Amino acid sequence: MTSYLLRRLVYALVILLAVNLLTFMLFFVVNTPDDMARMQLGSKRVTPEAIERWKQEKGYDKPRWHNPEAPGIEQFTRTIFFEKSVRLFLFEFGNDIDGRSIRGEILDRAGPSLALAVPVFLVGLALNVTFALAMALFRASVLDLWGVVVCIALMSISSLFYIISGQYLVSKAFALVPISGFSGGWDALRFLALPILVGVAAGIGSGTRFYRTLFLEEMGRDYVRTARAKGLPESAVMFRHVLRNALIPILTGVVAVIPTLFMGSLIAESFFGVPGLGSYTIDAIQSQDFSVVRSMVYLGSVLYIVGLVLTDISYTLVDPRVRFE
Amino acid sequence: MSSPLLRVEGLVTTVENGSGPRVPVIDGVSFDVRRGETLALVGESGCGKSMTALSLVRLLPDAAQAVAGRVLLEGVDLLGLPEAAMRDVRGRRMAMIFQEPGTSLNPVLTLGEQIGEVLRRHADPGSRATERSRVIELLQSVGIAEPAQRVDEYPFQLSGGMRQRAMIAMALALEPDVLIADEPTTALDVTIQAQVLELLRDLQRRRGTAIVLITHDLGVVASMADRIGVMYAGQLVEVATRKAFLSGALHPYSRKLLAAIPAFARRADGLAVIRGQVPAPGTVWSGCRFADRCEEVLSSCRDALPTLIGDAERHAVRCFRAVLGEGVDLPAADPTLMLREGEVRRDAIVAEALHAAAQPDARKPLLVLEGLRVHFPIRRGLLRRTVGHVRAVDGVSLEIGRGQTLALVGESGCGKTTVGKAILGLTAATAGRVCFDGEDLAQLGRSALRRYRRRVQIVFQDPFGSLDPRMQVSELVKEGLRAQSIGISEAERDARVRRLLDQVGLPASAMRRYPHEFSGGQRQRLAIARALAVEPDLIVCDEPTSALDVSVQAQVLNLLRELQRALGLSYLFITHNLAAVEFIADRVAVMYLGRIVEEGAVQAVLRDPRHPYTQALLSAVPGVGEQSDRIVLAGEIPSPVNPPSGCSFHPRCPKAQPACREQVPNAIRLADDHYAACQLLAPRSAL
Amino acid sequence: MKIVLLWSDGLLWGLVLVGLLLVTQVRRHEHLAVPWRRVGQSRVAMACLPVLLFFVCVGLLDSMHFRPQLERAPGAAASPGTAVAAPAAPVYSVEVLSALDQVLKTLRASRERTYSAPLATHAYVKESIDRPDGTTVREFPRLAHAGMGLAAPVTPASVAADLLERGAIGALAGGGGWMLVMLLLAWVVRGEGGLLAIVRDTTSLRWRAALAALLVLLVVTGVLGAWALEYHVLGTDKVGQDVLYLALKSVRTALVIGTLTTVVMLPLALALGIAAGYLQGWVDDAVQFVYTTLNSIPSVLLIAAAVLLMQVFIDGHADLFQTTAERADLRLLFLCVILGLTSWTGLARLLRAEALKLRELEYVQAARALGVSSLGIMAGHVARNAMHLAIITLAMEFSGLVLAEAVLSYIGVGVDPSMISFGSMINAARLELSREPAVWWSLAAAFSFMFVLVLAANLLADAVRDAFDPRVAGLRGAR
Repeated sequence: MTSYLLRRLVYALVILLAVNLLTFMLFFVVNTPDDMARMQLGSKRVTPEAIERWKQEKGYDKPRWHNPEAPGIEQFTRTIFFEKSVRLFLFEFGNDIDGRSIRGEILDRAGPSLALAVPVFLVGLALNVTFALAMALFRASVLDLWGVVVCIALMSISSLFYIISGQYLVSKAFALVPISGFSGGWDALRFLALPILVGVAAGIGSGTRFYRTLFLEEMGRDYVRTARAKGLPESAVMFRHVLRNALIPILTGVVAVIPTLFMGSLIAESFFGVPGLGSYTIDAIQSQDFSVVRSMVYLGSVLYIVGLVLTDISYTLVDPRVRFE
Repeated sequence: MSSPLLRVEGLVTTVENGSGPRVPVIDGVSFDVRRGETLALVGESGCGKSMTALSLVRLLPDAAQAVAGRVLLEGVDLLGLPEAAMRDVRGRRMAMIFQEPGTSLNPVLTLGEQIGEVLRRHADPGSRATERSRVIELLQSVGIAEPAQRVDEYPFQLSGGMRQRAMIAMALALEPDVLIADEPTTALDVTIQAQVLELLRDLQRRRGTAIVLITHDLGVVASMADRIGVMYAGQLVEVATRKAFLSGALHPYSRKLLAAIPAFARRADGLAVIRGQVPAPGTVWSGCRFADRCEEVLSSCRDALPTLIGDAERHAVRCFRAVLGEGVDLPAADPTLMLREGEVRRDAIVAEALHAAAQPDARKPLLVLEGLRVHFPIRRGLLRRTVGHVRAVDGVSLEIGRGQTLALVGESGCGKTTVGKAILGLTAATAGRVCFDGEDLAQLGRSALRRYRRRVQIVFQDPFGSLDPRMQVSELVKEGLRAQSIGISEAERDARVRRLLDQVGLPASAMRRYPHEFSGGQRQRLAIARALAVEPDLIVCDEPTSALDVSVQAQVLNLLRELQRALGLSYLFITHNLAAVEFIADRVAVMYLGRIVEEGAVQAVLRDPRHPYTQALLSAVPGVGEQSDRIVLAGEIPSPVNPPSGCSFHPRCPKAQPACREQVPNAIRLADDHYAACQLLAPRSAL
Repeated sequence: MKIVLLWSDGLLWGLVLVGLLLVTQVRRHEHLAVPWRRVGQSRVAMACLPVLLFFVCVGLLDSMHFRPQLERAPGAAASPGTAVAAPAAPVYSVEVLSALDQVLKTLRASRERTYSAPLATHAYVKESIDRPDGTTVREFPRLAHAGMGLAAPVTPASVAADLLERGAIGALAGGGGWMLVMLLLAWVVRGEGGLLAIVRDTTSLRWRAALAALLVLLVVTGVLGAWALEYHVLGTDKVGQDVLYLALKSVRTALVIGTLTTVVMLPLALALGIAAGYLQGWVDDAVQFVYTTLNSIPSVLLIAAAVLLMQVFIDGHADLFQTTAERADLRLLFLCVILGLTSWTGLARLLRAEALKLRELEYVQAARALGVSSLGIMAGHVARNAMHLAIITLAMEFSGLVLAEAVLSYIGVGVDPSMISFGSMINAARLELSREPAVWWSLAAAFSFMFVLVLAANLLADAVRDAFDPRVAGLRGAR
């Protein structure tokens, strides 16, 4: 197990290195810092001096890979690659365009992001699994057939529609909760109720359909027939046998997603004015703040890989076949 | 005579058929089973055997439904019971064992949980502790070693045979009145099958359980059944006691099934075959459902459906010839009609031996294996270091002469398939040599290897997995021609394909069709045609008939023999089916855990087995003769990762001596062409 | 008129050509046709067919581009002196139009000043209007291109009567067209019993469902079309553009994104997924590494980063593009490429797993034993037998991509702002609901067009999955 985890960790580092190289290529090789400066400064004030000044301010005035003028080891550390990419490994993200520490921003914004993402995820999961179980239990009945159609219809609606119409109906037409905004403490609930509702509603179609397929697949297996041959009632077959087996992919899938919840949800946050990482990312994209985008790419990769490792670990915990290997 | 425990009357089960009307798959089946009796339902696949079993316990798939008839368990009609009452019957009064113990057990629950569940469902087992001890008792009673430990294990930690024992423990937990066993040993090896059948017999003797045994294996039937029901196209065509059935089956279908079983004595004439194939559900019949395939068909057979005539307790048959009292010209004098009837006439053996000797070049070997080893590394740890080897093949030396058939026999996991792959160059040999016609396979370069592939070909077991479902037949057969650049023009290749199809007995019209349009047997013919296309000298036949019904198996075996005679082919016939070996092989090698334990002329090895493993293997094959000295091997094949020291068979060997543990036995020459690797057979002086 | 072939036009028509070729192939090979016939036996799928065909036709019409020749001053052409002179080189408009624009000429030209509600005859907001008598009043001004044929005092009743009359004519026209199609179809399936068989739904493919959907579609189109000649059926937006026109123009963008992305994705996924699964060893390691790396980057961020870079490139090389349409088209294509690059991993993973399974199958072993090369086996056996996965994935991916376009354009990393798409429509209208009174029709139009398109695609994809996926077939049997 430990050797396995070690191997995973080494692999994760290699992947992060690749991610870093890829983003570095995208941001500094395909487009030069000059292009970036020109875009940031706007076309009106572009003079070579202004560009140089901008680059110097932001620390983009060094060579990319290798600095022959610097002494010793600094030949490699006083470069854009080292300062902008390698430091990401230490979670030193630098400052954003307004000069604030990106790390500080991330720490501040993770809370609101989680306050929205976690309830959406948990409530959504509970509802999806429940609906899927009901549909699988009454498979091929009217409930199931229409359930599938409703799921597909729900899936066909743009997430933007859920947000916009939810906002319009609940906050404007019925004036139940504030349209947007955020505050700390219990007051947050008032602000979060609507985004959570919208988030859950948006995911219900695809989620329910996915779990229903999972359950049906499990129900077609031979051991289900064996369980029935024992004389077990259908509910026992469903909960003791089918659910128990289906829980393995459900749980491991959940574990893979949990770390990425940190990243927040892009559109919902910016729409509802939640000061989380999602809206931070959107703002950065719209203001073309590359250092924030790069940091978020890195953070996202780290969280994804953590999810991968957690998935592997959770398999060994819940699946006896893997546990005893 | 006591009233029957289970009585089935006029059972009709139908299945959905797309948007069309429902189609019957069981059409008026009636039979009785008494306490302590075993009724076997036999027939080819697609005859409705399993559907019958599932109808009895009402566990049919959603698309199927029992629509008429009665299933009376001590007078209570199960089909009329509400579902809740039926659940009380399942598991307590009627239990079931399925074919695949691997998938039929819940993979994430321990044996204790799964077996305890039955106890809890139907009876109050009291405390957890008493439930647990009862489960342990049950595991013990089905012969699972260390039951107190096994009770907390998961199914995947058990071998196939052990899983089936656990299934049996589960089924018999509440001592049901009726046990329905649907192909309980089909997925198991023959020595394990012998163990499981022995267990079922033993449990039945002690508890008086009635067993409905579903099987396609007439050998199993002969060793287990008290009465036999033959099913064809959803109907029972013959019901008889075992004795009556084996000594005088009346229905032409039953007789053909029996005559299709390969045996040594049938080598000269070939095996009986049933033309055509099992009709699909939904076929409309006007008369006897077997009429189209029957060689003794009367004109009346096509007009009306015969009824089951006779006393179902002793012998009843659904055939107009029986009605007419024609006695149905039973070839009672033909000893070949009986299963492994014991001694075959000596002159037959002599004639066969003469025939083998007369083969051209039989003595100059075509293929020689010298100390072949194939080891697969096991990698573990951070750096994926090799920590051990799976010794799939561990020192095999063999010879195959020109025009000869060598059968390689053994149970699953013994390495016989790996030998075949190594010969084809699909798996690299770790050590030893594969010499074909004087050339060492390992020395061949790329193009030489491609040329070599023209000379050695393969036919696989699964007629559905071995043909690409998306290729037309002509493309399939041409694949080898293209790869080997045989034939210049497409027309030339087409002509060749037509000739090949003709050779394997398929019409030229098959060329533009796709594999799924053919039956299992026809597909196996296609696979043979594909192999023949490149004109090989040697064909490795890897279990070519194991997935086929007995009548279809007969067709394929006949074809292989004819082709050998016509083209002078050599075969390496890999199988676990000893009856097929008897029919087709000249020489036989028995393999155990990567090594050859006995080798020699087929009649020498099969009639006079000397190695204890061969003896056990032969005795495990179920047959009619009441062998008093039935050897049932204990335990299972050990893992090839860590084979036992010395003679790898010693842990299971009933005759093992202390010396066997230490010394790897060498092959000992017992007769002109008969070798065995067992120290006990060595001359005294060698020990 | 100068024909303009945009890159995406060429690719889209190329795709249509490939599609037609594939259809003839499928028709010729029974085993390929079988699953498609199963699709055709699904009523839902057949009902989706006319809807999707309608969208495809709109999109293809909108993919035939040209630049109209600018008319010279009419006086100059009439003067006899210039008639004999050598004609000057024709001058073309910088505006690129499409055949669809030509069909919807009235919609495109009938521009109002600002918002107007669906089917309204007056604007949505009051304006100060100078009366001829010199006074200024604030009232809802009469629209310039709506209800022109109505008599002077326009009352709700007169509008309703006009709409009813026009609607009836439109519905009749739609119904008439439907009758023609039905008769044509009856002739096509005359072997199966013709019209009667369709009515009884006993045809092998569920034509009745398709016809029913077509009837609804044609009648709705007829009614809307009849109204659109004289009204703004879905209102106008902030700058007075007809919303129906915008919605129809958005269809092409959605189709291009949904289809051309797969052109990028499919070859990558097929080649890498199958090679990884079949060849194993270092190829497998490398492919797995690449797709784990790509997967680990949040796809929105990767797309955003790439699109931002693209923007930088376009800004720096403005001289490369003759028209805005060409620039927008390049950005659209680039978006497809980026979406393809981020979405091939899922399919590649499935194909790799399938190739792993297939390589152990006996027909692959048999091919190796016959001396067929690895490449031959991968192309001849593995790819062919894993194709159902590709088909299922492509069908399901389409709707996802259409939805993704809206989100990306909304964030500002989607299509060029000058390109009409569902996303840019929503983006432009994002704050309209909070106006007082709310302007809802732009959003409603974008969402409902998108919903119909995506729903039809999703339902068809579901039927395709049912027909192609052997596992689903197994589930069906167990039911």
